[in-house]
This record gives sequence, C-alpha cells and structure tokens, in this order.
Amino acid sequence: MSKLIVKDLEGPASSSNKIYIASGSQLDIAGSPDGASAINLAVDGSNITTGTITAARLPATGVSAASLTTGTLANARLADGHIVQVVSALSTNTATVSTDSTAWEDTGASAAITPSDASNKILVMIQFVWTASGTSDSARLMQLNFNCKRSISGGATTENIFGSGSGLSNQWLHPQTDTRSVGTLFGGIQCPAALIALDSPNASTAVTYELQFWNRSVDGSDNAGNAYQTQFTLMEVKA
Amino acid sequence: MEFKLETILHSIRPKAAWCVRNGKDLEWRDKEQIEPTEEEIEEGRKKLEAQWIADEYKRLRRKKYPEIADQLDLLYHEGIEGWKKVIKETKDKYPKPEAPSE
Repeated sequence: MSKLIVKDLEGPASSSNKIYIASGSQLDIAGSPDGASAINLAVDGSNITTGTITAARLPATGVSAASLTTGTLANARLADGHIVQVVSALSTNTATVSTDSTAWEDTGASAAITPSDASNKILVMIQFVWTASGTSDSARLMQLNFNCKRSISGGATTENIFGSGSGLSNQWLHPQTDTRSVGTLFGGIQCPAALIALDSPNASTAVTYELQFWNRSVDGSDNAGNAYQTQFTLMEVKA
Repeated sequence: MEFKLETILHSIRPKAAWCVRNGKDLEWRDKEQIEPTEEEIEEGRKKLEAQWIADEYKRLRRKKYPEIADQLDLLYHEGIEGWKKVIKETKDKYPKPEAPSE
C-alpha cells in the first residue's frame, strides 16, 4: 500500500479540479490511520448536488423547528387540535313560515368546506338573527328551534346534526305593540343568536352546512324564521 | 311605513300556510285558501298603508296618555270626572279623523 503524506494538497488554478476515488474505495474523514483525532470536512451545502440524505443521518434528537425556514408543513404533520383551514361565508338567504312546521325548514343560508382528511373534525359556528311575529293581539309563548343540516358531496344528507338535546331552543313572549291597532303585525321580535358545535362529518369531499329551523307556535299561525344575514365560520380541526 | 310581504299575506289570507324566502319569493302551502295574485298583494299593501296613516292619532295618543299607575292614582284622588278631564286633553290634542264619505 502506498502512502502520500502532504501538508496541503492544492491543484492548479482551475474551477474544475477533482479528486477521484475508485469505486469500492472510501474517503475516510473519521480519523487518520495512526489514531489521531477526527477531522472535519467543510462542505458548502450548495455543493451537495446529488443523492438524498437518509433519516439515519439526521440527529437522533430531531431537527429543530427553527431550522424549517421555508416551505409549508403538510397538514398531516400538524398535531391534533390544530386548525387546518378556516372558511368564512356570509349568506343573505332567509326564510319565514307562517304556521307550525311539520319538518325542519331550510333557510337557504349555507356554507361549504372540504376537509383535507376524513378523520378531521369541523367546528361549525353560525351567527344569525331569528325573527318572529304573531297574528293576534295577545301576549303568548312561542317556541322556535334552530339547527343545522349537513350535506356531504357524493354522500349522505343529515338534518338536525346537533341533536335535539344540544340544538338551540328559543322561547319568548310575543310583545304587545301598536300592531294591535290595525289587527295585523308590523314588527314582532328579532334577536341575534349563534349555534356552535364540533361536527365529525367523516368526509374528504365538500361538506355543506345549512341553517334550519322548526316553528312551534301556540296556535299554529305565528311567523318565524331567520332574517337579514347569516354568518358561517367553519374550521377544520386536526384529529 | 313599508310593509313586508309576510305582513300583507297575514292581512289578506289570515292563518294561511306559506313560506317566504328572501323576503320576496312566496311558496304557497295552504290547501284550503288559494294563493293570492300579485294584484291582490298590491291591493293589500295599499290597504295596510292607508290603515297605518289613519291610525296615526292612536299612536300619538298612546304616547301621551299617563301611565296606568298614574291614571289609577288620578282616579283615586280626582274621581272619574277628574280622570276623564285629563284623558280628554290628549283626545282633543290628537282628534280621531273623520271617516271619509262614501
């Protein structure tokens, strides 16, 4: 075995100087053959132009998040509970019915979100204004329930997804106002409200949420519905 | 005074079943009463507007009348004649308009 010992090894002035190592040979920079301490190999990162650094070559303690200075972290790499995406939508669709409902009434106010993963959950927040007015001149108790319908693109449609137990329920005393003077209604009552619930649609296609209500008037002839605008905020939560 | 479609429907088709979408689109659900025409709805709107104007004196009087508790106190201290005198002041200030001649 021949041995070449030099202090500095320098090629002629050129940018194309190369050191060739024959196939099967090894450039050992872990230490010198006589057991001296290890040496360092200073290589500019830009000069590593081919191949892949395997996970085995990464530090056992992992890579500091501070080192991730460019690019986008994939949603799959987020921890549970993180917000993956947010959809904010305003709908001006309204519906008012004059009698007792026999099924959930669609308001036409809706918003859609497409989950990035079927296992994720959707935090559904709906802000709206409910409205009610009566047709008699006497004060009385009315009830109006609001809930939400979920429609999965290419999948099932489910009404009352928040359940009757957790759905919003409003009761109010119909106000006596000047409306009595002409025996009809001029105003009634309008009030802001909100529905908030965590839904598990188990879907990765578009999921549409629509505000619904159920009118339960005392004598079956009181107006009820939603008014003005309905604000939807849908948040996909990593799960 | 601007009347909503819902108000007009109650006026011309009491207790009828319907759904109004977006304040203008009528979905008629009643199986006994027939759906009103656009002309009927417009006529109903005009009647309500006329009634609203005719009832102006009622709204003005209601604002001016003493509170019920004060009226009871007035009855106790001044008697029925004293009470009528106070109430008449408001009625005279805002007289009921005469019905239009046929």
